[in-house]
Amino acid sequence: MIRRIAVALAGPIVSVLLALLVTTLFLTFGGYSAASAYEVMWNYGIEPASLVSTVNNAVPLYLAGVAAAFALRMGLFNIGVDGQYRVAALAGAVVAANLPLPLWLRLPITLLVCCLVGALWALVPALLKVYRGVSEVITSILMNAIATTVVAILLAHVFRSGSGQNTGTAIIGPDGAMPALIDLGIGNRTTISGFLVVAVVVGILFYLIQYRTVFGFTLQVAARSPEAAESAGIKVNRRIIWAMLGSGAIAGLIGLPHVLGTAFRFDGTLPTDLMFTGLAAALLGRSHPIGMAFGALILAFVERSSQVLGLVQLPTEVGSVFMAVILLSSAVGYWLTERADQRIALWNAIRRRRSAGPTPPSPSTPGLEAAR
Amino acid sequence: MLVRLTGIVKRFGTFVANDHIDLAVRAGTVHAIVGENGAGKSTLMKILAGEEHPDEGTIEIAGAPHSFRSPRDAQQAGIGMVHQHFLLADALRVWENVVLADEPGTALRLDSAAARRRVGEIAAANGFPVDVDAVVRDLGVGGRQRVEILKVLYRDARVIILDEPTAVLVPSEAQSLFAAMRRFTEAGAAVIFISHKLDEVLDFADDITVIRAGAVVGRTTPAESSAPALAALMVKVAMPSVAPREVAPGTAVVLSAAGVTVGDAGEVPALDDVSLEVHSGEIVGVAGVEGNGQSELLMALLGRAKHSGTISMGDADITDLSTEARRERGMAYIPEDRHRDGVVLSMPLRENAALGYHARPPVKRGPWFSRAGAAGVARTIISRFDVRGGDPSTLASALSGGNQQKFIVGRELGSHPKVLIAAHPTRGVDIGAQSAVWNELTAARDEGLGTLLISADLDELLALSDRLLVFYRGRVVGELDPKTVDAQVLGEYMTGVRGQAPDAGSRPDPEGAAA
Repeated sequence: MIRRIAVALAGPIVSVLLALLVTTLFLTFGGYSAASAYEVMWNYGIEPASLVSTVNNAVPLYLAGVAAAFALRMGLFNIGVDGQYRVAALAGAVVAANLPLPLWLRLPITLLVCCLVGALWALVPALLKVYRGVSEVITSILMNAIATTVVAILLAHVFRSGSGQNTGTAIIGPDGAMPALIDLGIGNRTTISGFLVVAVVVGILFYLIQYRTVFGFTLQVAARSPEAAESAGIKVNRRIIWAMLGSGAIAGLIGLPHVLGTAFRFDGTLPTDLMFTGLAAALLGRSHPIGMAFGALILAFVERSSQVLGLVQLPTEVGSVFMAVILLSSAVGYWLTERADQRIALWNAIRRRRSAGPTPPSPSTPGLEAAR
Repeated sequence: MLVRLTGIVKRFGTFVANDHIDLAVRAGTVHAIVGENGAGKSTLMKILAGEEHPDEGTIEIAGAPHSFRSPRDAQQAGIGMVHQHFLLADALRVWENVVLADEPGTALRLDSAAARRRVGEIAAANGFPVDVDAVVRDLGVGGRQRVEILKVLYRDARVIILDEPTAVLVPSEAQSLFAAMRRFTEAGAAVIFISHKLDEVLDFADDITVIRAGAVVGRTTPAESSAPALAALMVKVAMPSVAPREVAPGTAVVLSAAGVTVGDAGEVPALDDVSLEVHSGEIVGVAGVEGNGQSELLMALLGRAKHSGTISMGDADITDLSTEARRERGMAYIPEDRHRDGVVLSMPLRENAALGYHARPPVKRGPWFSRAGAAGVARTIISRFDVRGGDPSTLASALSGGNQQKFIVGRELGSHPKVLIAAHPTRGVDIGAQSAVWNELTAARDEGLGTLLISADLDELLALSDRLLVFYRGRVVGELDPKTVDAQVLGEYMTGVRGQAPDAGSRPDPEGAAA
């Protein structure tokens, strides 16, 4: 058990260390002092306002990670998360601003509409994969481009509020916006958004659905052995559709923290590339709901703390470099730790056999038991 | 002698695929190699074609010894092989496929005009009606095979190996293939073809070599031999002593198929109008050389293959039911290939115990997957069926093949099914596990389970079956009594010597053909 936890933690730690190493090299060869850069970043990052901002910024990253992970558990690569959340965020902004209902009804409906729109946007690649055999990687990324255009057209001609320079939807009043969860009151801007609750609920639902239900089990079987799934009566094509719908539904929520908590309308300030950072969080946390939370927090922390570098004449790209390397190193890190784990298991097996001498091998050494 | 193989030995682990095989092929002749599946024919041919390296033995081509390190070496020595499963690039044209890897022109420029012309000439010279500009994707199986043969001819092969060339062809295509084979031999080449269809072999071969269990058991010519004699050489079973059953089979039909056909329109159906019945407490064996419709029958019964005709369990028509619904009604399934659809190797035994039974208690509790329930099932299987080498949390991949198989048999029988569809339940397991599985199958039979047993192991079929159906080219060509049938008669049915009307259009009559 301890070894399992150690192995689970070793992966992300190795990945982060690798990313730090590469970032250090980047800074050093650029003629900067890496140590002082890290010191500045750390000091800025642990300020209360920064920490609050880290938590708030980690929420959309976490949602993006969970969305990617939902499809990854079925062996699908939903690379269309960006498009899904942009279309859903526009729908959410319109609903939240215009629905004549009190907040306690309007907010859940807004969330549901966003889930629905995101799911529908993800349904297109799923159907194309099932019926035409087209890779979901290609179609979902193409759906991103379609989303850009569709959102632009809808924003310009249908949902734009006002005229002239105004390029956003109608302003969402307090009756439609996400209330603050808690104001820590320790200085400027230390309000934790209510979306933290949404993220926690999504994480718990993800865990229950994927790890605890029969449905999650069938997804796993379909992902690992489609033939075995079919023979067991699990329709692989339906699992593909459900996995993409689930992934898209979660993706639909990603844009809402910005729409309902920062801009209070849909406009050009919506971040458009949360997916890759979210994917990094998913890789770092190995698609596990708690692991991904740590991943999202680490990435949000780096993003936030690297902003200070500009003030001290250091390149703010350090954050981006770090994030990019994390994407690569999380794969390498897991590979390294898995290899190490196998080595350790091998050593243990050999040691056990040596100490046991020529007596029968212990039952836990696989493959040594003769078939009978 | 154009080809002389001497003392060829090939081992895979402890399994000896070729055991000191000698083979001599004369120029200008068609040499047939016959034998059952797994007899070692294909391995021998792969050795000759440079795809496998023999552990012992020598290869001589036209008197000169050769040691092939790759298929390329064999090609340069004039040996070409047409595989049973075609190796073609679907998106390329016929001539492109033919010249692939041996393109005329320089390293940087493909002389496509010359290539097209050359391929066209070869096709015309050999009487192959092939459009060299057609895209391979659009060709039928006969056309694809001609492209494969063109590939061999383009490389000036003197020895042409055809691995079960007629398995995919309709009779008229087969006839034109044999005509082409004659043209090659008249030009001085040698053709080696692998088959287990004895009528073809007797009609077209000059020499015949019979291989059984990795060794040559007979060399003959069509003039000196006959189909029954060849069948007796090919199929040799030591009749096992059958433990007499004490419980008589029931009379209720638990599984029936009526007129089931599987196949794409316009092609020879893989399963052709098959009807069969399994009674409660009965084991019905399906014998036949592999690839004669058994896999398609399995998939149709399980609800995974599109088919015409009706399938019923008891009185209920289940033709339109999903696999899940069929399993819920008590259909259990031991698959042909346990690694493909029997277990998920990367999952623990706990999850594997739930496979196929995930939609009912104790695994399913409301919407939840009960790990404790699944682990309990796994533990029961492990203890009752003596699965060794793991507990419920052990990955299936850590178990030996025999224990994986026992686990699957235990899972399927442990659910108290009404119907069991078992394919090769003891394939690749050792004797101990085999007798354990047999005991479980007969015990379940005595409790009233109706079993359809498909097996390539004739000992197993004869030991367990109450009735024996023989499949040939997707049809039931005979129903035999396993207690009285002898190996030669069974071999003749399996190879199409008996029970098969000569032309593919007419229906065989199982009753009239029964021995």
